[in-house]
Amino acid sequence: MSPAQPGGPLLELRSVRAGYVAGHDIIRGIDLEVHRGEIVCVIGPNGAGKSTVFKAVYGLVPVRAGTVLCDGADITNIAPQDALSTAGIAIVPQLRSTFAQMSVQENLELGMYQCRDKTRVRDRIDFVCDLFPKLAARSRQAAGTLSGGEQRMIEIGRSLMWEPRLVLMDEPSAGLSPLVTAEVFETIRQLNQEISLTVLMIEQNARQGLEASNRGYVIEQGIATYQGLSEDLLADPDVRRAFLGVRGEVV
Amino acid sequence: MTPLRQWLNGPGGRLIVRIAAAAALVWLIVLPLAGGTSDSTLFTFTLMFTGVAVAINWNLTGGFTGYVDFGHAVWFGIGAYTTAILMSLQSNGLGIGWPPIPAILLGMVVSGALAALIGRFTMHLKGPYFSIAMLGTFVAMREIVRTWGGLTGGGVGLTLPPYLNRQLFYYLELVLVVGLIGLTWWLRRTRFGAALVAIREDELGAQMRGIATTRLKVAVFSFAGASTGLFGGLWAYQNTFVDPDIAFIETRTIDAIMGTLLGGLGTVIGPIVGSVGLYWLREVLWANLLDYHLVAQGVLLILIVLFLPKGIVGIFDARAVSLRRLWRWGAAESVPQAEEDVQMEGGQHGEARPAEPAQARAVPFDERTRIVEANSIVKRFGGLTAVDGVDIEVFSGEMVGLIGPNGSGKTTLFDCLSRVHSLNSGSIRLGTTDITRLSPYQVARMGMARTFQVIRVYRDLTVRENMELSVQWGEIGVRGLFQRTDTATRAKAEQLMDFLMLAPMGDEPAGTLSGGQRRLLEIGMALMSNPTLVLLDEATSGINPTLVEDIKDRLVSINAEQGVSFLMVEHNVQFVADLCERVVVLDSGRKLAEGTPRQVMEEPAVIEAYFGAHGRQDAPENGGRASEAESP
Repeated sequence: MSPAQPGGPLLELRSVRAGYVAGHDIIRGIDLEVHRGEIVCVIGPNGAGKSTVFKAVYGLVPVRAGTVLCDGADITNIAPQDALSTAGIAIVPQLRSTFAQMSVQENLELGMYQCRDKTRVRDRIDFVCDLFPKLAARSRQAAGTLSGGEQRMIEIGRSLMWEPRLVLMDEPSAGLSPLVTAEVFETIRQLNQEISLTVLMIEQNARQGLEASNRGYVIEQGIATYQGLSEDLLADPDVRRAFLGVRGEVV
Repeated sequence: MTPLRQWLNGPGGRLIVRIAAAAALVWLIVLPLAGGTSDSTLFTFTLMFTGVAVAINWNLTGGFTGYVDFGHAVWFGIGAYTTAILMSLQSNGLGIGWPPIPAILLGMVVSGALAALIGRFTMHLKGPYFSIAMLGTFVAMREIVRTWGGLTGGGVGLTLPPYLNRQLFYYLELVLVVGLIGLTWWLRRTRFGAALVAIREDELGAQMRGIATTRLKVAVFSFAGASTGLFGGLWAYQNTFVDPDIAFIETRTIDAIMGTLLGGLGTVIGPIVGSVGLYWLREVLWANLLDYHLVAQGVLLILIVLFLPKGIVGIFDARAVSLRRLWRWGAAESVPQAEEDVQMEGGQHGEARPAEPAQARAVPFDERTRIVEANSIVKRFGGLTAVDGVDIEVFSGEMVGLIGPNGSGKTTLFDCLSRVHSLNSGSIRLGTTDITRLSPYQVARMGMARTFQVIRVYRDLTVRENMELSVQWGEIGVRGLFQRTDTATRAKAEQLMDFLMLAPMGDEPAGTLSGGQRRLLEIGMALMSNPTLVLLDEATSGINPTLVEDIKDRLVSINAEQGVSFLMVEHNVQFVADLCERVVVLDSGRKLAEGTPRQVMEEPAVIEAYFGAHGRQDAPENGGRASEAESP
């Protein structure tokens, strides 16, 4: 897959440091950028700070140093509730975030909770339902009664409601069967091509995640140690050994 | 704040705290001997000791165990009344009056016994239901005492013989309070104490790791009741008069709760600091504001709850919990129903390597016995049949894979096997025992360990405590319950933490771990309990692929060396293919296929339901881009 033609960076992190407890930074100077129309995949070991990068972008953890720029505007330490409405960044969190007792439609509506224009909300629901026909068929059903893959579709659909410029996805393939995992990555690729959605995702399913994306970053101990085109990362012997579970020498 | 906290938790801080505590104790010992200390001052101090003791007792169930009791003062009233009734038998013309000490001791025993009896019923209730049930118990008991005039003197109350001397009781209560503090301090450091926190954090998870939660929480509830009853008896004797409204007074519970909140819920020192603080606060406000002192007290407490949610001690001790945490009633209790896969997954299908030759197993196949055998299990949730007549068996030393689409009933089947769910029909045998009707903790003690799709680690306990708490509870006995840990457990925990790369985080609360690290911790916890069978529920999900390879090797060696059997729900098909001789495929609650990994993966129905028409190449020989991706 060839990278999409980059514009100026849509999202840019410059030497960002952030952490939960005072005096202890989880991410220690991350530089990262995502261009318009790109799919970028972040991989790395457990506890390296991948999810913390997302939280730092989204104002969920205080950024102690460095800047976060969205389309050139400084959004460092943005309030989480403004990240979507002001900066146009949507997030699909790591843990399941559907509201089990609410209907599929209500779940989608929450993606535009701050928008008061009812007709626009309805239009966007139609748009999302066009993208995910399975959700349209079940729009009145409680979200908790849908399968894991369908719930992930709700989460992705919800993130698209307010026409975000960028979607952050934290392990979109989490807990999904191979069939559904392939479907999710296919969906991301299609969205990227059809509505030129820009995606920054974290994946432990590093191989498939990189295969679905243009570029990749490796984050280790709070620092971006490698970056490059996805095919280069996939071919890099160090990356393969350390993050793709390949142990050529052993076999 | 943080350097201060670090310092306070360091050697210097600990020294200061110890010196302060020793100074306070010395002052309290010397106080009555100093000239000019009146009897009424001493009585005020004994009342403060009583308040501290009741708060400590309340904190045992409310803070450590997470059962917020709104009626704790009932035990105080029962202790007080038992003592009063026994001591005033003569004046009531009912026999010979008891001397104070035996009367007070019997009051303690009666309170403890009643607490055990009532706790046996009310502690099945969760969250607010328990709180309200205890409030009801409190009110009911007061009215019983009021109505049962012949014995209790009814609304008029009872008058006791005059007391001996204030100083004696001052010292007696001081010794008792100090003893009680020491006891809770020690208890918190035993397995018993850690198990109580585990109950607060995740009761069902604790049960599934072999902890007999009902027994432990009733025991601690009964102890707290007895201890509060003892102070009730002491109070009755010193007060020389009881009536229903002063023996059973709500503010005694409220003060205990407020004191504990002020000091720090779920800590040893919290209730002490908080109760004393509350006491002095009240005195100061009373002296300065008179009529408005209660208003000021209320406002101050609201401010403290808002701005110091973990109390005074919580500033320094990360282990204090906020009431909000406790009030997330039963959140951790919900078991995912009929729905699989929450949270993250690694799902790394890995790069195909030539499948390892069948591993050297501990037991040759024909000598194997069935470890677990489940027959036509049916589990329905409302109209949904999540598991629909599944037979599954695992032989000793065998590794079996359980795969299937999301929502096919894999986790529900696990929940049936580990006895979380009662079955609609079917039976389960573990070894030679029918476990169909056993409790989760009983099957855990029989050697069935498991990990969870929705991760269940005890977030407020450190990683090491999580590991050490996951011992085989069937083997530790009563003595083990009151130990902190033992050398073998400690060594095993260290070794497993090393392997799982958790050793650097050993002293951090498990709540600070990342998603993948928590999964690793769960695997470690399952292996701690010397299991004969481990159910792994998406154990590799969210774990770095390279570490997944190491885990694979580890499971193989545990299987080969110790003959431990594994039944694993996995979406990482390569993992299953490398480890398992046999794979069972579920779809819509039914068994779709069973056989060797290769047989199953070539089955058209499985390909359609699970891998997808084009997915066959994606999994398990995922990718196909690399030359080594060809299956042998």
